[in-house]
Amino acid sequence: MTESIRIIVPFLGLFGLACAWFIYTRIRRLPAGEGEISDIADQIHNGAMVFMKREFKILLVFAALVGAILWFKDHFESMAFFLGAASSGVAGFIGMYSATKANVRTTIAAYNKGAQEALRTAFFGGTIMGLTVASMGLIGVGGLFVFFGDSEHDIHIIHGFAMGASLVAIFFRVGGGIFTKAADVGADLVGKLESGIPEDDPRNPGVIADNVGDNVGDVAGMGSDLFESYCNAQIASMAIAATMTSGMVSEIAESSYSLMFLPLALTSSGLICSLLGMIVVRVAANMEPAKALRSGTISATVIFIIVAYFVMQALGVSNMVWMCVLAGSFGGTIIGLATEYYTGGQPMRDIAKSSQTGVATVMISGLATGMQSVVVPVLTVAGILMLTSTLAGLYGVGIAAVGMLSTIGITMSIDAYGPIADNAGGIAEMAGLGKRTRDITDSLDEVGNTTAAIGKGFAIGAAALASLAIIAAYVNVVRAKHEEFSLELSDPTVLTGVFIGGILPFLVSSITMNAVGSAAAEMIEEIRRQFREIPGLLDGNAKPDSARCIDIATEAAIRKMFLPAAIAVLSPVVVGLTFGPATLGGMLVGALLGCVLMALLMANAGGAWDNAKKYIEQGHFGGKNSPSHRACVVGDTVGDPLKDTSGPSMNILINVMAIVALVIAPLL
Amino acid sequence: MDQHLYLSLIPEALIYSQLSPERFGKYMAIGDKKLTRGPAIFFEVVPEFSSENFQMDAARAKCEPHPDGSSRRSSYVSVYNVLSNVPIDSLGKLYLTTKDGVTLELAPTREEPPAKQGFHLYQEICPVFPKVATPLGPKAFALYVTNPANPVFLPRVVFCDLRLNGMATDPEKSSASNLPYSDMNHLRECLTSLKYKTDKMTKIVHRDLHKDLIYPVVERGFYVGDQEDFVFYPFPSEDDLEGKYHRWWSSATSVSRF
Repeated sequence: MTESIRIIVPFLGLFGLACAWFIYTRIRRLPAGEGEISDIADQIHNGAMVFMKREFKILLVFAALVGAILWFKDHFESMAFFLGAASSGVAGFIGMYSATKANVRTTIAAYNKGAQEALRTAFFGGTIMGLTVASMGLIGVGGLFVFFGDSEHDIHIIHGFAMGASLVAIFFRVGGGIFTKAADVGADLVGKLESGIPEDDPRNPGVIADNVGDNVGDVAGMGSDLFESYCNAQIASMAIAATMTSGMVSEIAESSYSLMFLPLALTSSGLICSLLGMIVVRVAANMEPAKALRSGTISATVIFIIVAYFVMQALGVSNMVWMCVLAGSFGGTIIGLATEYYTGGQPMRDIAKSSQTGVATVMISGLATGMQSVVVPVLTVAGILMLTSTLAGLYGVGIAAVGMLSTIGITMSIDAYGPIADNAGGIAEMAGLGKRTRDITDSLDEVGNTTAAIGKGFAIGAAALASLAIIAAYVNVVRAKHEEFSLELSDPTVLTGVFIGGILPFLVSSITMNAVGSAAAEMIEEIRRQFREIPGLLDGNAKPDSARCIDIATEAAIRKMFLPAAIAVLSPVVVGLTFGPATLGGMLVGALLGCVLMALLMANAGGAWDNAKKYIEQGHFGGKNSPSHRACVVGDTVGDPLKDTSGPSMNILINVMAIVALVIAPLL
Repeated sequence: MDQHLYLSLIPEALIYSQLSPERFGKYMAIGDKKLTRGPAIFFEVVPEFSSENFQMDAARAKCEPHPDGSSRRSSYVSVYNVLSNVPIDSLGKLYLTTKDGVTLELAPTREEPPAKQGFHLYQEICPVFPKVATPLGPKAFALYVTNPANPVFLPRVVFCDLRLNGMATDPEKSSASNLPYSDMNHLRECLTSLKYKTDKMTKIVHRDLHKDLIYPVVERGFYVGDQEDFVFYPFPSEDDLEGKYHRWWSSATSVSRF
């Protein structure tokens, strides 16, 4: 039965895309303002398109190079690689395109109709990205499974898809992370260097780039990050299933095929559940924004867990595997809640309190909070690993990751909602729409900040589990060639790899953080040139060339991301081919641990510093302009590249390393 | 080209300029090379004003366009002892310029400022600039500090009142969590000492002027007074600051990250 129903998966993906298109047409019909508002929105939209165009140009060259190398390994795998890159690229493009159309409509909805309609517009603007990410995954992975899912020997072709998705993720996430902070820092520094131009002044050519950056980082970047984890988790589970012995298979399922198909069945169900969750948000839009969004996520997750049970019954898969899905879903929730606690709970308030004694104590308490925040998520991942591998072996780990990511449709929608609400506030501010509108967009943005922090925690957890599954698949693939292969900690070659892997997250973090500074410097030079050479710009009689600013920031960001990207792609190849599969396996383990710890530390410390500043702005410990506020502003400034550039890069780093290792595993 | 006469309070100076108040404020706050940064507060003085204490004619004659046709930004009349030589009825509108160079115009009124219970915190701006706690209302305070009967007095004073919230009526127990002053305990002590020493009319809280921290905490407005005259410059309401004057207010309350 499963052989015939697999065709449904890509069609479900097409259905998801049709839903996204339907929502897009509804959003497009909403009023988009006129005059200055429409002009600002157009600039942001056009800026986003400039960014995408530049990214795609360079991406094409890079993809052609990697695809050509893969061509010599396997023609089909190379084609799958291109498909993966194209799917991720299309998802990112659609997400950015629609988010930059929804932002101004959210502003107008807030201005004309109030909070409820603004929430709906922002959320449904985000659902286009959510649905596209989930659908492109189903079309790509599901489509390849239709053609290559019959044989365990052909399943490796699908690995190429994951590698393509990972390549795009590096560009969008790392490049986007550098861009967004370079634009942010550049725009802010203009106020300092070119006095008379406040940071958010429309005459500042960096302001539009800053708004574009929100979309680049949190829409395209987060989308490609989750898309990669989403596909990798499915593909790794399939790879593990394909390399399982018949004895292992019979313990948890009727056939190996059922296990290979299960990830797709779960993600297909997840898409439907996400759609139901979206309907819940629409109905609950009259509640507080946070409650409305939360009710959508929770209902989608609960429905998914129930549906997953029946899917497994239909496929003849053991309840043990269902419990792995349960573990993954709960694990994701725990990681999200832990993130929310550390970035918005008592630890965040403690950082705010520590600001009364100056900057140094803000830095110390923020770092301490970030360090402490890794405990619960890492224990959760460890618990999932222990539980799922006991229940269903390494396959259970992969399925837990699939379980966590199956409702990506709604999770990603809520992530993409954040930058739309943020942009809506920026447009309201720049267009001078008044306090009432800004109050509404601020309330939406406040929720967006929390959802962004939770989304980051979720993305890290998902990347960790997906990488674990890929590493498990890597071990199985190597073992298929070398029967005696194992990763023993007593083996010095493995330990050497662990140490090498451990340094990579630190190296990449340092490179990406420095990249922000130098990319910002290039943008500032451009802004200064514009002030110098465009007559009337300072007096407000001429318009800035924002597109040129965006172009320069994009180019600088892409140039600066080559080194981290090269490290991610080449380090497994160099170590694997030079020292062998054991050292490479050790390197993946070392890098995985380092990446997860660093990602959590940076995301949560940065988020906590950011929220501590906002907490003080609400009137605590002296309020805005107080010495406490100034101390927290420093914390927020330090935390910005941590949470928006280097932290998110960690997810990609480990996923790319793991997938490259899996692709080259048959050659080792 | 128009010629304006400005009385700058930060720093104290009398200046002729061909710039409009907005452009003059920007010039004072950020300079023409965009290298300086700091708020400016100034009055426009009526054109008829003249004083034998200054060489007004020389400065006025100098205030001509530059050879390239651009406006003369400043022609200084005096940088010392200015306020005391300009009568209050010669003062026009008051202009508040932020560190970014955005200017807000305040119109004078002879009306009394709205009554307020409890203690007051005044930031003196010119000719001296301590922050002072007192039980006296604005007009009474102006009369007190310019009273020649006191051992120390000023000929004329410009000041604004700063927010105290609940501490105005209950300095010991009231929460002041949203007041951005650097040393709240010291402020509490000053207010508390005034509460118990009823014969004491003023208590200096700080000797220095924290220029960046005036606008965000102004309560009712700015005042200029002496023994004979008193004028009030009402500060916009919170709604107006958030709406009509949002650009100025955003600039006045912004904290730069760099």
